[in-house]
Amino acid sequence: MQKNMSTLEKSIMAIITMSKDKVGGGAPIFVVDTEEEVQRTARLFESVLGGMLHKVNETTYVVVRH
Amino acid sequence: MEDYVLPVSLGILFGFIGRVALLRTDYRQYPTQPHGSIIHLAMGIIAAALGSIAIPALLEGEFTAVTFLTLAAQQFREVRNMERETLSKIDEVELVSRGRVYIEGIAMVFEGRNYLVILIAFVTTLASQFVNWWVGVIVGIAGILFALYYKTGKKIAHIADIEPAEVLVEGENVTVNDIYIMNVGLKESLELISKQAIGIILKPKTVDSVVTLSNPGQRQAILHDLSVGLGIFRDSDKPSLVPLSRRDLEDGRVAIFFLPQIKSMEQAVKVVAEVPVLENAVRIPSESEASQA
Repeated sequence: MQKNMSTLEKSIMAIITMSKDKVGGGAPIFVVDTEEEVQRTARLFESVLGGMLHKVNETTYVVVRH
Repeated sequence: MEDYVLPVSLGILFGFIGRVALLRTDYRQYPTQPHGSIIHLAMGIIAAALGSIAIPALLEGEFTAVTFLTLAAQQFREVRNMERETLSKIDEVELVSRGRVYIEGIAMVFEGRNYLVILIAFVTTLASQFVNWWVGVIVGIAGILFALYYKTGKKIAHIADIEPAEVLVEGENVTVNDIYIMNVGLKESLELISKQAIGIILKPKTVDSVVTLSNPGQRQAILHDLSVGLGIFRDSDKPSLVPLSRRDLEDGRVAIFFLPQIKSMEQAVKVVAEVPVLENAVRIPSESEASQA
């Protein structure tokens, strides 16, 4: 992404998960119920934050800005 | 003083023609038209004048005048800085950036070509001063041909075989043939990728080209030229559609992953073939002493 967009580089900007008990830490965590909800939330985050969604495992996704 | 009018004019003329011949704007539109080109043509006249005036200055015993050439060198280094600065600024807002190595390469070429112009003007004036005007003309033409030969660097087609490849989407993983590209979480992006993406694999021809192709700057240059040649299917809010290149660590093959606006594999292969090999990316490990052992 463009360098002038933020000061954060290569950082996890948000965590979207369906299993709340498996995640924790500094990044904002969004707990959702369904796969569709993951996709909907992530699409918004990709556009707004300029980060990219990566699938960590079946229930957890992270938004990372590269 | 009149003795020098013809040789100096010839020198300036051929130097300028040389600059015009070396200044070619192709599909990449750099230098930009018309003002970017005007800057460099004006610089070309100055360079040509400097080169040709050096001869009369020496003949008149004005040795201090030659020190002006050092001033010229300073001036042309400034050209390089100017180009670097402009391109770096522009690069920040490009959808696919040129990358620093490409920019350095372009800036270096602008400086180098001014010296070539000085050289053409110098030898033309030298020949017409000491032999006669038509020898000067011949030397001038030879100088321009030499410069034209010297300007053409290597292309990717010289160092690698360019092969069309398939972009495969398996679950969240995207690969080009067998080379892993990235993990994409967004379904929407995965659909766009399987619809629009093209993959190319570059097989390096020699040990040396393995190293050159591994250079991230070189790979960024390929991606940038692709985005210019075919357009890019992306906007700044779609980070998952970013073009990427990845290497196979085992054999040094490089996979290019790209979403073009014009989806034509044939055209893409042609564009990649024409990408210049960046001077700053070239390494020749085969000539090192370590490899002779």
